[in-house]
Order: sequence, then structure tokens, then C-alpha cells
Amino acid sequence: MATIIALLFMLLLWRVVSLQVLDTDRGYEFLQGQGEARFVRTAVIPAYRGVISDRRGETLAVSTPVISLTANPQVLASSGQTARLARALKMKPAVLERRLERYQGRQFMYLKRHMAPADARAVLQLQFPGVRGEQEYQRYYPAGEIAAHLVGFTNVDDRGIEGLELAYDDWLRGSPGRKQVIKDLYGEVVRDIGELEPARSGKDLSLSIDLRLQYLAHRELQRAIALTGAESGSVVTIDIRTGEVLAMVNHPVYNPNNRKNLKPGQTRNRALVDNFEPGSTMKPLAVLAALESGLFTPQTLIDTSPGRIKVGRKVLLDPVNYGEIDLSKVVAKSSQVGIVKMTLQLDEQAVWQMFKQFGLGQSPGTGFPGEAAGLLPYRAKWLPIERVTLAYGYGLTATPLQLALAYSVLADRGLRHPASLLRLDADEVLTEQVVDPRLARQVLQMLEGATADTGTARRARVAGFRVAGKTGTAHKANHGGYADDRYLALFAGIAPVSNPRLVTVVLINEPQRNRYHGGEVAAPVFSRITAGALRLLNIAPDRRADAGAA
Amino acid sequence: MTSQPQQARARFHWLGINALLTLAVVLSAVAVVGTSHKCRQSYARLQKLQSAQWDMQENWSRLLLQESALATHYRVEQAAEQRLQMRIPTAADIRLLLR
Repeated sequence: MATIIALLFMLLLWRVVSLQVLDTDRGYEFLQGQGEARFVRTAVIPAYRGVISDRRGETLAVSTPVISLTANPQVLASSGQTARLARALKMKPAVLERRLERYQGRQFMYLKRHMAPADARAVLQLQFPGVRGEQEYQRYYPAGEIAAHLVGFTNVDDRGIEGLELAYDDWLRGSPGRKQVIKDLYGEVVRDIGELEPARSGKDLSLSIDLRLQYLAHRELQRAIALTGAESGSVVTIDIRTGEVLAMVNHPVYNPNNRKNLKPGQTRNRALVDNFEPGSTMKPLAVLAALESGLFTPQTLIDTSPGRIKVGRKVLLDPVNYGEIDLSKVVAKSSQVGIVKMTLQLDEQAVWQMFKQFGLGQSPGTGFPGEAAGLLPYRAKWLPIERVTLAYGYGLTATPLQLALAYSVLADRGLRHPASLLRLDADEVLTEQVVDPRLARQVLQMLEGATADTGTARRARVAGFRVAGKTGTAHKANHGGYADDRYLALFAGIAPVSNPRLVTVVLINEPQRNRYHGGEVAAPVFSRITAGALRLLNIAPDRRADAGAA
Repeated sequence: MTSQPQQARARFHWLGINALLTLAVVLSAVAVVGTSHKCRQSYARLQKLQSAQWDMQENWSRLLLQESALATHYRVEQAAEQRLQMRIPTAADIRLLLR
């Protein structure tokens, strides 16, 4: 008997040793693994998303800590405290009941996401069974609607879905870390036991815009829209020396911090995404093509009488008969007939070639989602009407940014810089000489003539500065033709002329109330924005200040 | 053939090594306990610091919210123009000093 007991005892001891010490098939490691599988869980540590700021370091987008309340529906439903919880969450009890029913088979549901930490803590303090708080980050946009189109926004899971938040999502996004936690029978975290991998924060992003200029442009655009009853509009300001975008605003706007009432189209960054026919604002480039051909100088006389010309089957008109005027006057008066006569003397491809050199029909390459490249159709053979139409800015499309870039080439001695939405260091600026600096200067002077007392752009003048620019009033295309009563009012301008720094393009889409000319609607907006921008950037007034004093 | 004293010495030798190894095991076991205690302490500290960081972030974003509400360009503009009677200098007010 004693022997049997001793034997059984030995057997037991052997079993214990084989389970605890020896490395058998279902031994120590297996058992520990099974045990841990029942209570150790890996939890995610949220990563901090990089901050987006303007060129001077003002925050445009920042992740703020919030708490999401989660629940174990099975535990919560059986606790009989749902009515009290609904009260604490300021929800209707019936709504909460319905949601609990929908998740009844699950172990996890969100009660309310992204609560202000203080509010969430107030609920957590009441200690409802199965209710827990989860730390998360929510994006907040301090500049609100002012920079909304450019910055874009993220979705509820902190992924960029619009604008630069989307374009630079990989750069901004951190990599979430992992930690091990011990959970009890009800799935509640009892204790953290260690960090497997720390969360790594995303990298910060510095944009090229200056929030002060951005606000200024926004305010003036809103004012102009209110005055003209226009449908939409855009303003782009770029630094001609670097190609950096200093301001880019659109109407309609939206509030990125409250997107409940968002309408489709509101989030569109029209200045980068929408194509339009640039109309008369292209004339200076056509004139540049004429100067480059060597057949014309700014003083070349063109006879525009009797103020109309027939090309093919179409008759093109000037508002009045300007008579014999020189090329500078053609630009200042925006004479259709003058441009037509000039273009017909040039090589077939000359105007198209010049437009192409100025970056039209090519993507500006900012990397913005949905960025448009415009359309500059190539033809092997050009009919006269096609050539002249192109020269006065129809039959091609461009975005406001492309127009601003083209004007910056004129302003910066024929140098072309790619556009940038990010702040650049001096050594990051790329430069390409696309036209003779002397000719670019001549066109700039002609454009200054357009802001003289008799020019079309006199309302663009800025007190104390010399400015140059061109108005445009484009008929909008609709089904199979051009509408008579729908216009785009445009202005593209450069300041100060003595030492150009800024190019600003203003586009007002479908102004109402019978005021639709670029010179009337868009030029004053340019003037107000440029006056403010030159002051904010501390650019010295021109010496010939009297030239601009209105 | 080994002599009696030699055998005794060898036995003593083994005993010494065993004692040393036992001591090493005990020491290492104590060290393991100490280290895991320290690890737990450090992790607790890390968690405390993380929650402090979280609190500071919370505070910061609250302040940022306040700042952005109080320092909007629009509000500053209104205050400057209406309460402080400030205005933007006109071209005539500006004297340009050229060096």
C-alpha cells in the first residue's frame, strides 16, 4: 500500500516537473502562452500628428488631446444604468437604448467620440460599469476658414482627407506605438505592463503662406463677393522671387472645425483646381511673343481703325475706334483689333510657344490633391481665327495659380520659378530663364501703362507705389457657345514696378448687378490687397510715389 | 593512482566551485528581482510623465483655443479701429528716409 502511494506521489512529482521545468510539448511555455492569451492584450498608443504652421510659425493645424468614451455593451446593458448614463452624456435615453441593442452581441462600442477631456472625465467619474475612456487626438484648426482650402482636414481617425493634410499625410502622420496591458474578465484594462514600441510623433510642416496676408486677401475677397453678389472667387498672391504662394483664398469658404453643414463644392480650392479661360489677361504674353519675333517694338504703330476686324467669318470689335496706336497703347487699352493685327503677322506657333514657356497647360507641380494643369491645345496647323483667339486668351484654360505664375515670369526679369505651397529656403529655389529680361521689362512697363489715368486698370492703383497689371473680362462658356450674361472678372497685377516683389491674381466669378468688368470688379480688390501686403511685408514705397498717388 | 591528500584537495576544489556557482545563482536571482523592480518603477515613472505630458497638451490646446478666439485678425482689427481709434497711415503720412 505504502509503495503504491509512494509511486503515485513520484508520478505526481514527475508531472509537476515536466510541466514546470522541462521543455516538453505541452509544458511550461505552452501553458504560459495560453495564460497570457487570456489576459494580456496589446493596446495601441496614439501618435501625435505633426503641426502645420504658416511661414512665420503661426499654427494652422494642431492635434489636441480628446477622450473618446467606449463601452462594453454586454456589461452596460445588464447594469440597468443606461438611463443615468444617457443623462450624463446628454443623449436621449431611447437613442442610447437603440444603440446598445444594435451592438448587443459585441464587446466594444463607441459611446461618444472626441469629447473635451473635462467633459469626458466628468462622465468617467460616475463609474458606469463597462464604460471607459480612450485617449485620442483630434485636429483643430486655429485659423478656421481663413486657410481652410489650403490646409484641408483629417477624418475622425486622424488621417488627412483633404488639402495639404492629405497631400502630406505620410509626413505628418506619426507611427502609433504598442503597449501590453492586462485585462480582467470584463475586458477592462487593469494594469499596463510595458511598452513594446513607443509612439513616434509625425513631422511638422511649414507652409509658404503668411497668415496676415491670407487674412487680408480673405477679408477683401469676402467684401468683393458681398458687393458684387458673385457666385465664387479666388485670390492668389505669390512671391515672384521664389515662387512661394503667400496667400491663396477662395469663396465659398467653410469652417474646418465644424463640418456638419458642409456642402459639396465648399471645400474646393478653386485657385488650384478650377480651370477658366483667362481672356484678356493673356494679351501681354502674346505681345511678348511679338516683341521676341523682332517684328515689333513697344513703339510700333498699329492701325486699329475702324475699330473692327473680320477674321474668317467672325467680326472682332473694340468698344471704340482707337485709331492708330502703338503696341503699348494696345495693351493699356486692351484693344482686340490691335492684338489681332499683331498676331496675324507672327509665326503660326509663336503665341502657343510663348504660352507654353510660361507654364500654361502644364501642372504647376505643387502636389496639391486635384491640382489642375489647364489646357493649352497644340495644333500642327492653325487657322487664323484659332491663332487670334488664343492670343486674346480664349481656347485655352488655366488656373488662377498658373496665371499668377505666368505674371511672375514677366515681373522677375523672365525668370520662371516653380510654385511652392511650402516655405522654401534660399537654396531650394529653382530658376529657369524663359525669356529675354529686356523684353520682359518692356512688357512690364506696358502693363504699368494700363494703370495710368487712361488705362483699363486704373482702379488697381496703390497710393505710394507703382503697380502694373492687366484686367480681363471673360465670357463664360456654356452649352455650345459663350453666354452673354455670365462673366469672369479678372485682374493680374504686379507690385512694386521699380523692384517687383508680389504678383496677385483676383478672379471674381459671375458678378451680378451689371458690374462685371475686370477693371471695375477685380482691380479694386487687387489694389486693397496689394496696399496691405506691401505694408505688412515692409516694402519701401517707390521713389516716384506721385506716379501712384490716386 | 592518486594519493589520499590529492583526492581530498580535488573534492575541496569541487566544493569551492559549487559554492561559488551557488552564490552566483543567488546573486543573479536577487539582481533579477532588483532589476524587474527597477523596471516596474521606471515604467510607472514613464506612465506618470506621459500622463503629465497629456495634461500639458490638454492645457496647451485649451490655451491655444482661447488665444485663437481672442486674437483673431478680425477682433484685433475691430479693437484697433474702434476702441483705440487707430488707423492705417496713408501715403501722405509716410516719410521715406533713403540712405
